[in-house]
Amino acid sequence: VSGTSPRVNGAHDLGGAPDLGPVPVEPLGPVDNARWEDVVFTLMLGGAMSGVFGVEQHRTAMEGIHPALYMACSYFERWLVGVETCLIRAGVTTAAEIEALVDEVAADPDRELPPGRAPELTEAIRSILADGFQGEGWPERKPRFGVGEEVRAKVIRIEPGRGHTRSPGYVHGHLGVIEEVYPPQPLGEAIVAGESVNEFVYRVDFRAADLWPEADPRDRVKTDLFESYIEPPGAAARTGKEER
Amino acid sequence: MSQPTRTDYLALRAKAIESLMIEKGLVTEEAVDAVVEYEQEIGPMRGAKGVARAWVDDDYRKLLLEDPMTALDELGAGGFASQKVVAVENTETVHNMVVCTLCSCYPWSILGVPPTWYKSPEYRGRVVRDPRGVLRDFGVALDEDVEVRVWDSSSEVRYMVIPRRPEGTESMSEAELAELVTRDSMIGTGLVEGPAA
Repeated sequence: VSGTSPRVNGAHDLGGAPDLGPVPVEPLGPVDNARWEDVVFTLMLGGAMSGVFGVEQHRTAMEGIHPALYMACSYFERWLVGVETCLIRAGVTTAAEIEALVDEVAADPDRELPPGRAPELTEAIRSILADGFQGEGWPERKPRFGVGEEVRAKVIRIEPGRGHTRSPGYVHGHLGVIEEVYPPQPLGEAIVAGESVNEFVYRVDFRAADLWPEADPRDRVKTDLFESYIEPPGAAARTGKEER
Repeated sequence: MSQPTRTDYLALRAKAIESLMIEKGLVTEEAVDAVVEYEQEIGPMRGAKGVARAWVDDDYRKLLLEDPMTALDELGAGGFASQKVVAVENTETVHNMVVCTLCSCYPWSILGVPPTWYKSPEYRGRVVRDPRGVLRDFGVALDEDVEVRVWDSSSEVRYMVIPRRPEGTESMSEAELAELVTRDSMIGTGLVEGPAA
């Protein structure tokens, strides 16, 4: 089974995509985001801290952007599309309402923003920046797999923009060896489905040449995979085919 | 009136969504200022201090590799997007590079605001498959016998690279060494250069 098919689960699933040009290298030195980019970043944090949508819903929304548009958009442009989609999906607004509002602002670009109504959110956002997102308590369970064990990355297919997975397409179907077991973390697709599931995360070591025939035989790719993304090597025949 | 640029349009669109979210009580204008403040406060110097200390103090180096959160605590790990940081060390025979192929996960609190190239499809897509080609884009050539390890941050774990200490720095202080450590060297797309002769 060769699961090395970038973009199969959405335009964002880029690992190993063969058609990409040189990296747009920038000089070293401080990175200075434009104000509108900081605004977009804050809107995502606002969504998360007010509980209207979370990081996972936001990622899922961005993953549904058409591949052609995805490549044409800058990073924060995709984030803005993601925020809008989440607001619409959460029933906060409609596409028509957004377009009408954009027209209003276009007609009067310097108009003042409305007065704030949720000062507690400012503090919540400050604390998320200082302390990071605080995970819930982790359940007392044993990991299914252990360090040194060989596992296969399952072939996982989702509907881009609706389904969600953190398993990159380039590992699907491939064998790797568990190198580290990390404590359980919230599983993104469960959150998107409105559930709360924590799973152990395994750092799996893949030989680059197993993933791509032209790779240097010495090189390695190490990918963090949730427990439900991997299986014992022998289980491959069951899952490789029937996922679609 | 001159033709607005794509960026003008995006700024306008962001403002429209910002006003909508403020009105619904989902964000505040002050929160944007808090983000801007935070971005000015963080930076690669935090991570660079850890690297320099690891170079001069072998006990600290071991701590950074074995228990990075404790080692990086006073430098700001644990903050935004850095709740679980793992440090990986370059050696004579191993070169490490960090990526997030699915989005652009990055240890903000210890490396600062991510550069645009880190978030680009080109970097995300190519580095797992052709790391040496990506290094060439950055003007970096590795020795023939070096193994490249690429770390894809697909979970909440964030990786940082401890680059190699350059030759000719034996007499430098920890603070001077920290000045040499670049952001790119802690992502793995750069090497640390010694002081200019």
